[in-house]
Amino acid sequence: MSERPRVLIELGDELERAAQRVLTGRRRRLGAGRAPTLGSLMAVLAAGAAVAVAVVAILLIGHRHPHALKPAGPRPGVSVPRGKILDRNGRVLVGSRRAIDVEIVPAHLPVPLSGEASQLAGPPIADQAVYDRLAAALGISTRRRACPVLRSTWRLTEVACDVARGVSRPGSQNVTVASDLAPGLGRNVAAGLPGVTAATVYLTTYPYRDLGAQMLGTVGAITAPELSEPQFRGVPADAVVGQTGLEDFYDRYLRGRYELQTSIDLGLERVGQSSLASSINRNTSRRGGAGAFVAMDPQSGQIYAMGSLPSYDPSIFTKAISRSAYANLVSPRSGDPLNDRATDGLYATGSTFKPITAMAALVSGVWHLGDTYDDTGQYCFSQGRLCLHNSGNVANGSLDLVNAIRVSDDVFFYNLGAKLNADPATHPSGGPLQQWARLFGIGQATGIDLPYEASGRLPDPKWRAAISQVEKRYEEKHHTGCCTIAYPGPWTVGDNVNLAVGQGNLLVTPLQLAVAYTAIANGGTIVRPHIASAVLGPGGQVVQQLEPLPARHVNLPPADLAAIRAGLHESATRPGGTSAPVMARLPEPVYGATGSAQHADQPDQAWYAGYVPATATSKPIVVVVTVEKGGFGAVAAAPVARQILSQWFLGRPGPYVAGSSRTP
Amino acid sequence: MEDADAFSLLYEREGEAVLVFLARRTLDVETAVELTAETFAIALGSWGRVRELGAEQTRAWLFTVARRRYGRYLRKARVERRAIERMGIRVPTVHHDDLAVIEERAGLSELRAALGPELARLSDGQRAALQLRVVEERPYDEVAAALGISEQTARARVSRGLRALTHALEAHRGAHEEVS
Repeated sequence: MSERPRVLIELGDELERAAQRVLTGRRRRLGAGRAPTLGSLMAVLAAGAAVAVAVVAILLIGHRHPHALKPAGPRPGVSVPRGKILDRNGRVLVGSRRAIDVEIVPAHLPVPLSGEASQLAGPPIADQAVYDRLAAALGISTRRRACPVLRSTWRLTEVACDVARGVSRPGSQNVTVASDLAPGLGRNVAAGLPGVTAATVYLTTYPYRDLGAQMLGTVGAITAPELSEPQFRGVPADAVVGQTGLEDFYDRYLRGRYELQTSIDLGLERVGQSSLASSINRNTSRRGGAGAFVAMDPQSGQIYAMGSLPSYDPSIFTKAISRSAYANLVSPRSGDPLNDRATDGLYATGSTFKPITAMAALVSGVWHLGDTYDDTGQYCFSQGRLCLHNSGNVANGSLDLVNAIRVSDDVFFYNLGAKLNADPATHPSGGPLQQWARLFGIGQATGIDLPYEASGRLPDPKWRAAISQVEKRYEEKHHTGCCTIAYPGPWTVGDNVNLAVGQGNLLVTPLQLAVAYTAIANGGTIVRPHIASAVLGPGGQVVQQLEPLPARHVNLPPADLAAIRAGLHESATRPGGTSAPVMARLPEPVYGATGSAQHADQPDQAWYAGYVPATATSKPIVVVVTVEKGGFGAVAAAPVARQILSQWFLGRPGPYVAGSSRTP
Repeated sequence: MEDADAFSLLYEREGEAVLVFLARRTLDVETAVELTAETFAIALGSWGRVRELGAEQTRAWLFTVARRRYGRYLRKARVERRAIERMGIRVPTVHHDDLAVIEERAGLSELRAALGPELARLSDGQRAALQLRVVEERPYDEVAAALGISEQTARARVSRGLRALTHALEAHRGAHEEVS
């Protein structure tokens, strides 16, 4: 059935549920545990004392059989525990516990079944008596129903269907019929039933459920392509390996029972996630609101906290997951919770980009520290044919660079964007603005210790020419009119004007922006962010320190850097500063910028990027927060950053303080 | 066989054929999925009658319902979801991987190629909407944003554009169809 489109399978599930509801008035089995019926009890009485004991136990403890855990693949538990993942203080973020599964061993059934798909010529019903006794013991229905297997559809009981599907799977092993039973119960069920066994497995546990789920990652059965990769040489075909996040990146340690010490601060992670959730609830109207946050050490690149919402409980992957539950996890309707927006979310950054524009303008000499610009509320270019305005059409009058950063003046930076534009014919990779954005790491993966990370996009004339070519080829091939993929045409000054305020075709991850701000905070070192700090042996001793070297150092002229820092500091502390009301009364000096990235036909994306430098505290920190469709940065993102900073310095999140600045 | 199982078997047997049938008419997998869901929701609502039919008759009945749903989609410029809602069915999202599979089975790329010259006959608004949605396969919110219209209007323009091209599309479907 694997070649069937997923949407058809999911629609089938939906229709089946509806049919059960409408035609039989009974609830579909998924997720609805049932106690054994009288009929199943009678069957059990005939099946032997051991099984009867099990059923009595089920009734007495009110155990609801784990039928929601329909095995969708090989068993997800492992026969040896994986290593734990710890926070910076040794608290367990990902653990492991023992559980009992009841499994059918196809080759040990009274009429043995081979593991070869080609030999499953007919429905595996020779051992129906065993299946029925097992079903009775576990309270699983023995009603026959349609069971699609490979290209056939047979009418089978649920256990027989599990067996048929399990045996038809390439490289199949035992078939898990029930997961995570109480130990005594599992063994009693298996006792006396030929071909049925109780297996001890270790399930990965997540004590904080959906906290940092995308970063911590999931484990799952090794896939066929993975088996042929060099790092999995010698790993058995039914092994469970890390599939995403840290579980994947450090799989070879964790699979070997080593523990992973991270730099994550559990308290900060919790405050970050709950504060972000609170902002999403307050500021986004649609269900499936989303956002991300990053908090890191600007000196070393150690991640203190990082999260992405919506999130999910990774323990769903420790047991077999139903197709519809999985589909829900990757559906845009549910906000795609598997997606780590902190490292994979690609967005325009809005005004949080302006410090990079400022540095490019100062170093390239198109702007000087003493220069002022008279903001009349609009900026016109292309011989006055195109005019752009400040948010709310305000005119801020005469501004130097520090004050332009403080009030986040768009017109001032549009002007810089135009001045920084280079002739695309002689500068295909752009002018000083692109050069400095690249130096700050924009449009490049940061090298964090996670398996997947988006690179983003820094628009320049070369990119514009390439995308125009693609568009042109498409138009020729498909005989379409203009602009099906992108607006074609050469690079214009408007592209640079947009980029100067973090708009246009710019795409950046929240982590990339955090790395750029670490360089402003620490004086030019582009750190390589990392989450894990050490590999620990069984006794907790350090087996290997993990301290990656910084990616590079960029020379930032001290006077220019000081001016940009002053603008960011005033923005967070002085009257008229975009986040000053939000950041007031924090114990340490905050440097930061708000941002609101505009999108056609939907609310702006809120941003905050800020830091407290090592010159002011022994606990320096950079914080980036973004809320999709959250509106203004001061309203939706800065309050989250404030609570993260408050937790970091005071040990409590403090109040949620929303600003009112309507500046982008 | 219990009714619910018989209904599930009908879907197992015919679901993909109905989807392909509708995709080749709407040139749009997402719309085709919605119309398929509505078709089977109607079948579920009429099960008392449908269950008495033989296999071939059931199939013919199903495709008649599908064709009528498509006709209404063209006339009303939107997908009717009455049966879907009555039955409480959640129409699943079309996954990116599905698109290529369904498109290939429905032979949509040839159909789209054939559509190019026909677009010239449409009004500017319909042509632009069809180009973006059907040829370029952009989501409706992007179509709406690109044209500066509401999503509902974008959907209506695509539907009306398809209606205008019905004859051209019928000619190109030809022998490719299993069920006409």
